[in-house]
Amino acid sequence: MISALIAFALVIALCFFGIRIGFATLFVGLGGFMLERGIGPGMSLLGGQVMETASSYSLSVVPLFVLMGVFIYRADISGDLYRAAHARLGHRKGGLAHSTVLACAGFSAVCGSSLATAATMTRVALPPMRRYRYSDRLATGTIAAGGTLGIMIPPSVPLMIYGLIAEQDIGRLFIAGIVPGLLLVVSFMIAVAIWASLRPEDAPPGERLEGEGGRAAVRAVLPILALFLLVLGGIYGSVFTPTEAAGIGATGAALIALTRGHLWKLSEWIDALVEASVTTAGLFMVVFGTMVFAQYINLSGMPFDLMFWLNDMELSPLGLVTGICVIALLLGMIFESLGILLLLVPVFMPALLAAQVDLIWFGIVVVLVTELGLITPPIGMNVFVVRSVVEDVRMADIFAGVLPFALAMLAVLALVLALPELATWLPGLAG
Amino acid sequence: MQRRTALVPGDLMVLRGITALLLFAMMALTFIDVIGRYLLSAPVYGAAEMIQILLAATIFSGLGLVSDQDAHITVDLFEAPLSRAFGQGRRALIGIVSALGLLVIGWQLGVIGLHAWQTERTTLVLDWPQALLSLPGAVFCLIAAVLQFNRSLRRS
Repeated sequence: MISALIAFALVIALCFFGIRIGFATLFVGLGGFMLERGIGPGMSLLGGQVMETASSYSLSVVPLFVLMGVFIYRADISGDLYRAAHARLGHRKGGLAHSTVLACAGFSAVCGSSLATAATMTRVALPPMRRYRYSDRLATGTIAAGGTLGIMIPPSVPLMIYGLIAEQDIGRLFIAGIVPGLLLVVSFMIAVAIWASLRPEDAPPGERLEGEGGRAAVRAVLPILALFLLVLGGIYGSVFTPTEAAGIGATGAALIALTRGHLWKLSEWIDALVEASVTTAGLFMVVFGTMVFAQYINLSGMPFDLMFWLNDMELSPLGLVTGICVIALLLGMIFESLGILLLLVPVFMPALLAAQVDLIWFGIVVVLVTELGLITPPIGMNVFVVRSVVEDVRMADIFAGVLPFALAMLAVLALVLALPELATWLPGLAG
Repeated sequence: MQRRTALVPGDLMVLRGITALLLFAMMALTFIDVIGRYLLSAPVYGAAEMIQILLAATIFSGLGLVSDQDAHITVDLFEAPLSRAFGQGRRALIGIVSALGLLVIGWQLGVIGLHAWQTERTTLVLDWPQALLSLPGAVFCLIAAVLQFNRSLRRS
């Protein structure tokens, strides 16, 4: 137990110093394993873990869904998504903020990246909100929080990675994320409504967007909606495996981009494919390192010591999961979502299994917690992204703006904790 | 375009092209397999194994580009004060650690690949050499390590 704690401390210290997460975990895990078992077995472990992860068929969803997101991003669809929502809601009090939440949800549903959603929507949704004199706090807060929706609404990279570590079906995890994802959208819209009624001057109604412009925007987003339904419906109906759905999704996204006048040059294809490959390789490097580290942590016996310790405390499954959430919230102040998942889940896995916790439900809960970390200080990556695009808004104002949404997220987290069926019901129906 | 040292000529067009082609092949293969199965009742034989090989190759070839851009995932909470305190030497050290990590991975993939080659191990369905899974990865990791070293040298 002590050696494992030292290893954790070492990883955190190296990461703070700037050593890349994948290599910090790899070297500490490898070093620990070699001290216990020798150099040869350590090297064999490294090669075996890397090879097994890199050639895992189920993980081929990652590059393909990332590619789908890149194509959708390059299809320049965000403006139409926003205008479509604006056409329906823009004339209401707080309507532009509601539109932003919906457009963020729609964009992240096919893009899959929280940061890309936040960066894109800042450029798309902020100018109109400023034009109608929305307060900067509400406008930037809505965008930063709206961007996080990508982590829960499928396809979601953190859910894919969780599926790998916890050995859970990625398709079922995606389906499980739908209801909590929709709850997040509704809770964000409630947060906007409360803000607009308490401070109407922060969210004045915009103009009704009528005529051909509004209808054209709605028509333009229909293919996106169809692709989303095809991908998720295919997984839900067991027509496609998640990998096949991802391949269909990426191809469909490329076709959408082509119909919108993009990807007609070879260089555009290469740029998009390289972008997706670089993102994928970066993610996998962290996975390689943490898989080796997790093997050492398992060898140290820490997860089982922890299981016996928690057993003695006679915690209920809910108590155990709530405790892990608190640790994940604290880790969220240091690491981004991937790091938290990879460091936390293997350590608590024996305890979770012993307590017979539903691992699909736990996956949704822990990913929700990491989502919160995207908008809470000191890291709050989404806040940083919004700030990098609009430099004339203070960071403190954006953090103040996301506060109501962070509370809304906490409320959804409490709901999902109290009612696991919110996550497990839909996958249960799919059989 | 960044200026290259003699160690890494060109603008990585070949590596970019290979990586792009591998991922495109994975996308196209998955799509053709699904369409073949549902519309023509003729799925691609051994598609899953081909996808496994393509996935490994895409990841390892992508690592070179990640290293060249120094885009490995990091915790940059204390980036500003540490940069002030330790200067360029720290960044070079970080790069060298990453390069060493890539070298170790490449070495082990090479060991696995050579063993598979010598023992003539093949994949279950397609009967292709299993070395196809790891040997290209070993080469790509070595390239990634060189690119990462090169980047560290440029920084320092």
